[in-house]
Amino acid sequence: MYAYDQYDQAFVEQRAAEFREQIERRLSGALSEDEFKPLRLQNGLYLQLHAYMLRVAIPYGALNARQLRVLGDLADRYDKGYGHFTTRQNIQYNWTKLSDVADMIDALASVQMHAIQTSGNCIRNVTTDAYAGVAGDEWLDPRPSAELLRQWSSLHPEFAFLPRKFKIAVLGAAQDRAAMKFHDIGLWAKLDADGQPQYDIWVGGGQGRTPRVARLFQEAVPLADLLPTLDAMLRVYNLAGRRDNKYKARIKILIDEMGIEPYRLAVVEELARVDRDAFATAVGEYQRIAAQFETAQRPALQGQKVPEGSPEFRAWLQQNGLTHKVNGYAAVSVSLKTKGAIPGDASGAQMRAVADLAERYSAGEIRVSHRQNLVLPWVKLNDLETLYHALLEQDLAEANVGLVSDIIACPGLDYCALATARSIPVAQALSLRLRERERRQGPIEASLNISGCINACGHHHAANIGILGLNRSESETYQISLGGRADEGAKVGDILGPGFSQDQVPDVVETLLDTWQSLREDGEDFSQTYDRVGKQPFKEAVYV
Amino acid sequence: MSDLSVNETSSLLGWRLDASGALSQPPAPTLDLLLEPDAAEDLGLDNLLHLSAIGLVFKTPHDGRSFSLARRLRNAGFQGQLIGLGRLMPDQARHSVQSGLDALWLEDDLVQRHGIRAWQNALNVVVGSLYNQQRLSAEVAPRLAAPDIWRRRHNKAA
Amino acid sequence: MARNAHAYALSANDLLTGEQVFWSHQGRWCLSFEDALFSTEPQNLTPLGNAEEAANRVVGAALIPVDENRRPVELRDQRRLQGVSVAVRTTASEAASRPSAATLAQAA
Ligand code: HEM
Ligand code: SF4
Repeated sequence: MYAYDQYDQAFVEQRAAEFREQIERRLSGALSEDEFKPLRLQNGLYLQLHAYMLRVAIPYGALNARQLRVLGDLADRYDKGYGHFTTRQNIQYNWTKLSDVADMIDALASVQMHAIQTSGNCIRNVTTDAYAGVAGDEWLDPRPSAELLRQWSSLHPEFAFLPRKFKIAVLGAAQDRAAMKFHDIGLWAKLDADGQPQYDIWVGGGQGRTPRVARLFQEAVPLADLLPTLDAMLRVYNLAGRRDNKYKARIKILIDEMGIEPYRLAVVEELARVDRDAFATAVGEYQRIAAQFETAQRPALQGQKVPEGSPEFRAWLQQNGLTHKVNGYAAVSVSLKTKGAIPGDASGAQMRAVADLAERYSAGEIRVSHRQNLVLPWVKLNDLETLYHALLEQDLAEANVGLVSDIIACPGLDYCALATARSIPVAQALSLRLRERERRQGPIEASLNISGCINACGHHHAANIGILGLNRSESETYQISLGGRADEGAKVGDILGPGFSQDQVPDVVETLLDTWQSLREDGEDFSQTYDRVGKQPFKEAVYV
Repeated sequence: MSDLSVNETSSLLGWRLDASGALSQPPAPTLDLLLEPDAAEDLGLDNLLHLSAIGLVFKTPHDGRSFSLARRLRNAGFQGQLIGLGRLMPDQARHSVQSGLDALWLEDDLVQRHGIRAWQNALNVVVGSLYNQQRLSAEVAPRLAAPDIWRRRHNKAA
Repeated sequence: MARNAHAYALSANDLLTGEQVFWSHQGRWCLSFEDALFSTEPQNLTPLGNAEEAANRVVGAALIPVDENRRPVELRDQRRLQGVSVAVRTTASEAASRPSAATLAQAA
C-alpha cells in the first residue's frame, strides 16, 4: 500500500487546521452559509435532513487495519454507532455535529486519511477496482495512477470551483468493476509495447437526471501526457461548462451540446499552451508511488490449498471469492448485504472486527468496493475456512456478492435532503425476499440498484433492475428500469412504465425475475436476455 | 467586453492583498482591462498578451472561471500583473496566487464583512505548497520560492 | 404556497448540531414539532427564518405547510418528522459505551 511521507502528512494536517479555522469563522458569523457551503462541501460536509453528514475519502478503496479501526471508532464516538460505505469508495457518517467535525478530521489525519474533495464542484475522490493489484484479469495495477491523480487533484487551485462535480475512475483490468464509463473521466490503463503505462481516456459519463455512458476521447495516451491532457480537458470544461443551470453543468452536457469533436479540438488547442515543464516530475512521482505498491505485493506461496470445508463454506467461497493474480492466495468479499440489512452500512464493532481479521488473515489490508462491500485481498488459501467461520460470527459471511440480493442503495429520504422517496426500507424488504428466493433457487446473478431520487446516487440507471423512488402527489412511488449495466458494456436501463407503491415492489421484482428466468437461454445473463427479447415481455408480465 | 477605466476603479476605497499575504490600502491599481469571464472567449488571447495589468473579475464565490483564465494567460506567456476583483472569499486567496494571480483588489465592505483578521490570515492557515504547482506570476515566483512537493521529493529546482 | 395548506410552521437545522428545530410559541427554537408555533400567515414566518439565518443560529430555514390536524401536507416533511425508518443502533446519549478520545488517539 501507499504510505504517507512527511510531505503527505503535513499536507493533510495543514488542510485539517485550515478547515478548523473555517468552521470557527462560520460559527462566529464571519462566513455566511452561502460562502461556507462550498468550503464545507470541499471537505465532505453536507447538511442532511436530521444532522450534518461527513463523507470521508477512502482513496481507490484501500484501507489498512489501523485506518478501518479508526473509522469504526469515529462511528461510535461521533455518530450513532455506524457508517455507510458508498459506491464511490467513501464512508459517510450521518449524525455528525459541526462542532465535532474538526476533531474527526484530526483523527483521520493521524492515520493518513482525510475528507478532501469528497464533495463540492471539484475533482472528487478518485476511484478504482476494489480488486486492484490482486485481480487475475489485471494488466496494470491502477492504484499508482489513482494515487498520482489524488496528489495532483488535491486542493487543485484552478479546479476547486468548477461548474459541477467531477468524478474520475481508473481501471487496469479487462473487466470493469468500477463503473468507469459512468464517470466524468474514465481512464483505462494498459501497458504499451515497452511495458510502460498508457491510458484510454473516456469522457462525459454520468448518471443523475441525464444519464450518459462515457465516450472515447483518446486512446493510448502515454503516462507523460496524462496530467497535461487532463489539465487541458478540465480547463476547457471549467471555462465552457454551463453555470446557468446546475442540471446542465456536468461535462456530459457540455459534450452533448458542443459535440465530442469540437471539444477534442478545444482541448488540443489548450494543450498546446500547457506548460509541460510543470509536469516534468509526474513520471518520476508515478514510479516512486508504483514502487511502494510493488513492494507491498506478496510473492507466490507453495503448499496452499483450499480446505474441503462444509457445503456452506464452499458456497460462500464460490460466490464471494475472486481468482487471485498470485498463487496461493484468494481475494474474498465481505458482504455488507446480509438478509434485511441496509446496503453499505457497517457498525463500529463490525469495522473493528474486519480490521482484526484483516490483520490476521489479509496482510492488514481491506478494500471498499463500488458495490458497497468490503474486500479482504490477501487471504492464504489454507486460512479460508477459519476466516469464513470468524466472519460468520460477525454476521458478515453472507454468500451473495454479485447476486441480485447484493443491492446497491443510497440513503434516500431517511437521511438525504434531496430525496423524493425512501430507499432503505425498499432495499430491506427486497433483501429479505430475494435472499429467500436465492435460498430456494441458488445464486441469481443479476444487479438491482435503488436511488431515492433522480440524482441516481444508488446507480439505478446502471442496474439490470433499477428502482427509482419518486414523489407522486405526496406519496412514494417506485419507477422501474430494466437492462442497465455498469461494466465494460455499460448501458443505461429503459424505464418499464408507471411506478409502483412500496408494498408492490417486492412482488414486481419477483415477477421480473420469473420472466427473465422463463425466457433465459443457456448461459445468458440478465442483460443478454433483455437485449434479445426487449422490454415487452417484462411489461406484459408486470402490468397485467 | 468591459473597459472600466482606471479612474473609475480608483474612486473606490479598497484593499490590496498581496501574494505575500500582506494586506494594505494603497491607491487602486492601474488596470488596462477588466476581464469578465463571459467576455473572455470573444476577446482572443493574443489581444491580451501585450497588456501590463489585467483585472480578473470574480462574479460569485462559486464561479472559478477566472482561475482558469489566469492559468491560460500565464501558460500563454502573459508577463503582466493579474489582479483579482469582485466577490472573493479570503479562502480563495490561495487559489488565486497558485493560479498565477499577483494580488487581489478588495472593496472595503467585503474586507470588513469577513474581518480584517481573516484577510490578513488568508495566506497563513492554508496549504501553501501543492504537490504540483504550475507557473506563478513572474513577480511572485521569486518571492515564493518554495518548489512544489513533487519537485522537493525529486530534488528538482522550480 | 402549498396546496391544502391550512397553516405553517417554521423549521430549520441548528447551525451547531444540525438537528431539525422548530420555531416555538416561546419565540425561540425548540426540538419538538409538538411545541411548534403554527401560523396561517406564512408572510410573518419567512422573514423570521431569514433573520435567524442571518444571525447564524440556524441553516436551511423553511416553512412546513400543515393541514387542519397539523399534519404536514408534504411527503418530505412527513418522513423527516418521523425520523429514520430503521432503528438506529445506538443513540447519541449512550456515550458511556463509546470509546474515549484517549482510545481513539491510542488506535491512531
Ligand atoms: C446527502 C447525501 C447525498 C447527496 C446530497 C448527493 C447528491 C448527489 C447529486 C446532486 C447527484 C447528481 C449529480 C448530477 O447529476 O450532476 C449525485 C450523484 C451521485 N452520487 Fe450522490 N449524494 C449523496 C449521497 C450519495 C451516496 C450515499 C452515494 C453512494 C452510495 C453517492 C454516490 C453518487 C453517485 C455514484 C452519483 C452518480 C454519478 C454521477 O454523479 O453522475 N451519493 N449525488
Ligand atoms: S439519489 Fe437522491 S436521495 Fe439518493 S443520496 Fe442521491 S441525492 Fe440523496
